Amino acid sequence: MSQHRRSAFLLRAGAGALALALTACGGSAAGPADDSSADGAADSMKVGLLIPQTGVYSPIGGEMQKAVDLYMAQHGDELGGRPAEIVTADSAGNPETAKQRAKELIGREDVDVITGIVSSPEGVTLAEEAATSQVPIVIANAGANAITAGEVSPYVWRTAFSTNQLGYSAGVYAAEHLGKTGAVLMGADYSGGTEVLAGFLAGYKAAGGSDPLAQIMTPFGKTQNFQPYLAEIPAEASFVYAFYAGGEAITFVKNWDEFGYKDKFPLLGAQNLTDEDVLPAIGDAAVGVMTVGLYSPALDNDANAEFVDLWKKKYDLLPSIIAVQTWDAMQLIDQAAATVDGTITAETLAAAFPNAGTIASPRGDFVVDPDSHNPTQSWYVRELQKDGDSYVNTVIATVPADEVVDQPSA
Amino acid sequence: MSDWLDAGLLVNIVDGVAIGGLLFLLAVGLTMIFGLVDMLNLGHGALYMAGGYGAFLVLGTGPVSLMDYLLVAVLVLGVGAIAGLGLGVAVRPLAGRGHLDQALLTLGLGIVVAEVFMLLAGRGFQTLSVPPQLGRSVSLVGESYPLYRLVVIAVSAIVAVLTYVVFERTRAGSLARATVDDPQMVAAMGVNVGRVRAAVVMVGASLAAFAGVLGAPLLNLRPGVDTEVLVLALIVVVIGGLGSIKGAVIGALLIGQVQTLGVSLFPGLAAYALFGVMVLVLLVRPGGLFGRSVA
Repeated sequence: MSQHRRSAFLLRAGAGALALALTACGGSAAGPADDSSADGAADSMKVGLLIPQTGVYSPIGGEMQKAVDLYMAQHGDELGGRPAEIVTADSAGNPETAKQRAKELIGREDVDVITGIVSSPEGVTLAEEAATSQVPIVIANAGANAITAGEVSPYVWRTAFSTNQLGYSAGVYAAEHLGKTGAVLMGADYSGGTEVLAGFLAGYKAAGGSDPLAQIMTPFGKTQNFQPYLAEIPAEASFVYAFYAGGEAITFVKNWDEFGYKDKFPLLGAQNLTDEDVLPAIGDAAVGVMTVGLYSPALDNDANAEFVDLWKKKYDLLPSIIAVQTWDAMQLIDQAAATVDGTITAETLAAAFPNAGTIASPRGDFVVDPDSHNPTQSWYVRELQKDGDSYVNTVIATVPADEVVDQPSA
Repeated sequence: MSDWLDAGLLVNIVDGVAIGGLLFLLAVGLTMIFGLVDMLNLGHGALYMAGGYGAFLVLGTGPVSLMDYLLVAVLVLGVGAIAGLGLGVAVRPLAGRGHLDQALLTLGLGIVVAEVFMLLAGRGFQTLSVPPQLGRSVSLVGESYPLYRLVVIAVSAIVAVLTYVVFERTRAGSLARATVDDPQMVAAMGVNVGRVRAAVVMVGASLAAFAGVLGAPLLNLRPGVDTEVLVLALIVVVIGGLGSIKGAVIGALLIGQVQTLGVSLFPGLAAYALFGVMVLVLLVRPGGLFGRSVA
């Protein structure tokens, strides 16, 4: 009898532990939001940096923080010729938390603009919040197509990409170089993952590729062992295209190598798979992996030479794509602010973004398109190579901007 | 084509054994502490987390030498045992006040411990490197398989045999079991019951912390890993039957397969399979597979 009761109790206790853990995660408190956006000091500005400091995307958030720190140090803590302050908040990679934090940044901290913003679901929520509260956001990563689809809010700008661009460019390359049949797609099962894979398929088919053999989606943020999912790849696959970022990229590439898939199929990934922010944790397992991204530290242009030099001096590592996207977000804010006569407010800054002009980016000069609010940019196919003790994403091909489609066709 | 599939399936099964081995290390302590000391330790997940993060704080992100790795593993075994001693002392005032009070206290202590490690190591995603000697892959039925996971299987198998022999075949083990059934009689034989119970908690806690080191390269280090493994261990214990080492072995192996073979064969059902298996076992045998028959 007592065994009965004990096992029942143990069950309930386990469920209780689970419930407690859930409330602990979801219940991050947030105070009331004060919507008055009266500006503080007359000629200063305040930038909110909203990044995940917890969860699988925390390595990405950390990289953004480093880029902003370096930019501010490099520019004497000034933006647009005015003293500027950065306020960091933790979005936990969760759209609800991100929204609360954004409200706090706007209401309590009175920021003029918010940047950072890693995951697509966060980006979508914050784009709505920006339009409602009329405080501009400059997205340094979140790629969701919806953010810049159709009539884009004048408060929403992006220095990263649309996920369609990210997947599409890889699809074009794969069809031309890895085979027009036998594609297998893998990705994290959330809007970011499904959109990148849909973009890939659009580009792949536009360049003459046929339907993929399989599309394998893995539970987002919960998968610690990719082995059972890798086992689903059909033996007749000609290559695998994968979208994973942050902690998931680390685990995926390690598992890919450990379970011998490197010798079975070529692996093409979205830029995050071997981005510099995850490379130290992946190590040799990443060698030979191909990715399509908007940047490589190995690019040959003046802005990049200067940027790589700065970054290496400060952090003793090569800069990541995330770092460049964030750096350029700061450049865009800086250049837009410089065109504002008089006081910087959320309103005047938002109106100034179309006048920001050409961004001298380490990825190559680009302009943020006045209609789509996304960069018009080339995409680089990179192969990870080991050079002595360091790893380099060597550029092996370029997909020019005019071959890449920004939004999926309706 | 079909023999490639079979090999893939076999790798799946082996991988399930590795995950199962890890779960066993965790669950065996939980089941012993509950079955032999009648103490519900919901801090078990935090002990796992402390072991993993402790090793990470010492070893860091970079490459790790085998010597350092083994040293840290042994150190964690020792520190885990001391933590178990502390846990036993902390719970003692609650003797006779039922499981709920124990559960609240140990869960609370676990949250505090987990938060302390979050403060020390940050709330980000971390992982532990495997020493290069164990980091390579070996050929298994013609497929490549990480050696480290085979080591996990070997280590947990050794622990399983050791705990079984000690608790089922030695005098110390029969004393430990006797303290549950008839503590007065055991005390009358001149045995210090308190000391026997403390030893059981120490061994269980020590194994949980050790599982944290062994499991960090597989399951990674992140906030919430403590509750995640605690729930898995509770499921294993419920399936296997309380206080049964044999049950912990079978339960852990079963859940390991659900998480690898199950995911691979029925990807859509993976999220429900874990609880589905538990419900099924409880319907057929309410006391768990190897639970002592209801008196």
